Order: sequence, then C-alpha cells, then structure tokens
Amino acid sequence: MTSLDVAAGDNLHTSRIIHRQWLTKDTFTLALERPPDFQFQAGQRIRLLIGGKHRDYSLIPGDTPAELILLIRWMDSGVVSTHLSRCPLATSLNFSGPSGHFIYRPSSRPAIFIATGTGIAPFAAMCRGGLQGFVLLHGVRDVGALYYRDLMEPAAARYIPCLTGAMPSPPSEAFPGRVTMYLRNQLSAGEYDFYLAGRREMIAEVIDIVDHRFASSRVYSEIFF
Amino acid sequence: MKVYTGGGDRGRTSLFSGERIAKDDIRVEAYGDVDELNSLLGVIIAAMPHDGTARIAELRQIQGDLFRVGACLATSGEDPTFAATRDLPLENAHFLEKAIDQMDEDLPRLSQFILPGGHPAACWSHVARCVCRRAERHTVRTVRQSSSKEDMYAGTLTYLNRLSDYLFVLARYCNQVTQTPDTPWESA
Repeated sequence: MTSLDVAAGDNLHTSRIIHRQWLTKDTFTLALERPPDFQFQAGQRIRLLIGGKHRDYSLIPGDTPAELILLIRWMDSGVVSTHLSRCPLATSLNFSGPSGHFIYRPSSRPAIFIATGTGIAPFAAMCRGGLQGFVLLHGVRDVGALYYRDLMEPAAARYIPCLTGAMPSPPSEAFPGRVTMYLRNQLSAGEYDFYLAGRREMIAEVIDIVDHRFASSRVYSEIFF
Repeated sequence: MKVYTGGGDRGRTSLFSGERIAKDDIRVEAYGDVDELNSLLGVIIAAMPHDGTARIAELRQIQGDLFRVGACLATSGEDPTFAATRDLPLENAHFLEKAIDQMDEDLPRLSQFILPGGHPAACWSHVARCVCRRAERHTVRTVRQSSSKEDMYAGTLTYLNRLSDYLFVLARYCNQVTQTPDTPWESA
C-alpha cells in the first residue's frame, strides 16, 4: 500500500546539536539534546526541518537518556546534509515526529535484518533497546562503513557484512558481494521476517527475491535516500 | 521522499503486517475502496455549497478516520494485538450518528424513495455512498475469507455501515441547503 505516513507527525520539537562525530569521510553522527518527555519506539524516525526543506532520519538512542543520535550520510549536493555537517555545535534544529511503523514485531519466524549504508540506523536503535538473535546483512562498500559493528555483531545470531568493494586483507568472514546476491545464493529456503532499510533499489530487488524464493515470508521496509 | 519503491511492479504488495499478497486480493480491494471513498469525500468538500460549509470540518475528520480504516484493513489478523490497535473505536461511529441526527432534524421526512441527484455535492455524496457500501461488502469478504476475526474489525465494520447512512443524509442536506428539491422515484 502507498505509505500512509508520508508526512511525519504533527509533534514539533526543537533541539540543539551536542556533538558531531565523523565515522568515514562522508558519514557522521549528530548527537542532539533529547527534548523533555520525548518518547519513540526503536525504528521510528524524525523529520528535520531546515531552510524550507525536510529530511527524515531514524533515531538511535544516545549513550545517555538525554541524547538522540542521527546517522547521516553527507551528500555532495545535499543542502540539508551539508548544513548538518558544517553548522556549529549548539545550533538549534526543528523537527517533527516521531513517526513510522518500522518497528520490530516478535514472531516465530527468524528475523533477517537487511541494511545498506546508513540504513543500519533503525537496527542499531533496536539493538540498543536490547534486541538479540537476529541475522543481519549489512551491505557497504568496505569494512570502514560497517557502522555500529561493535554494537550489532555481539547481539546478532549471524552478522554478515556484504562488501561490494575491496575485501579486507587478511580475508574475513565478510561476504564478497551485494546483500541481494547473498539472498539469492546463500540464504536457505524458508519462512522469514525480512526487515529492509536502505536504498530504494535494494528494497525493490530484495522484495522481488522474497516473492520468488521466500514467498510465505513477511517484509517490512524503510527507504533511505 | 519519493512515493515509489518498485516493490509492487510485479503485481504484489506488502501489508502493514508484512505479508506479500497479490494486488487483486480481496483485502487490497477493500482498502482500495476505502481510498477511493476518501478521494470522493475530497470531491464532496470541493463541491460543497456555501451554505453547507459547516460540514467541511466534519468531512475532514471522516477523511482522517478513513486513513485509519485503510491501515486497519492492511493489517492481517495473524497479529491480533497489532490489528486491535488499528481498529476504529466505536466512538467514531457515534460521531457519525450525532452528525446524522443533527442534519436529519431539519430534513423533511421521507415517504418514498428518491432518485440520486440534485446539487453536485449531493450527487457526489450518493456516489460516495455507493463506494462506501462496496467497501463494506469487500471488508466483510475480507473477514470471511481470511484468518481475520470479525471482532478485530468491529469498529471498522460499524463505521462503514454508519458512514453510508451519513452520506445518504448528507446528500439530502446538500439539496436542502441549496433549495434543490429531491426527485421522488415514480414506480411504473
């Protein structure tokens, strides 16, 4: 169905940037002050409102309850991500939300989390909430982009980095190829709950694979641009 | 945010509860009808005569309710807790009943069938009423043909039933405030 929650909720908030940390040359985290009484479910997102534009970001609980973390990929032509990458600390940000239905739903089927790039954010939020025992495929170019690996790997039943660029040396447990290739060739036939977060092209391709190889499975998705 | 994913290009779609189903599944028909109905309410609002603008806030509220109905129908019965949180409370149907009673107070009593027609807003209300009945029929089939339990959709079924009554009365109301006479059906 067409998304019924394209617009974020009406709850408007203001927060300030506490901290910025670059993880790679084009990806960073922003720690924001958590507004009083602000609650969200792991997997939900907020909508940042900046200069007449808006962008949605998944929320990750911070190291302390007073912080919210956003995982942001800087886009060369991106007005919002450029602003967020350069604005001074303590800059105020307006946002609406939380919104979205991309939350973990316990079931008897194994949960397969599939992320590309910063699409790991909602899964990191679930993991920070104590979730364990899932299978995670994280598709990135190289090992340096395996954000939140330290958090995810110990909690996962299987943690499978899928690398599309150079493989590390010495060789690791990483899968050499896209997450979709892993699904087509490696994942055993069965009935799963697939949770997809990342680029639209990945999500469309995974859904096509699920329809053919894992037809009785469930699919929940969140698109990142 | 883009509105397309490409995930439905091969005739299948995802429910809120995660299942992949064919786009001609009766459940998709049902929430598709609700979507069509919601769009028709937008047409009614656009066509509403000046003297009927008091009803516009009411219609906007109903449009919001129909979004919830669509979300409820897009959730299968396998996850009862999840579905239960989406069903409309019966208070929403009571809201319609109050609106019906309020409009009906000033309407002349019907003593025979009337032909759908009159002011454009009334005509669209009749069309919406028919789509609402279809949505209700498809919802009933959805409940009957799936593992969904009827009581999980009790609020939705009541609401759709009451909404078609509301739309019938709204059509008469639009004709009345524009002094457009109802056309009685002359049986042969």
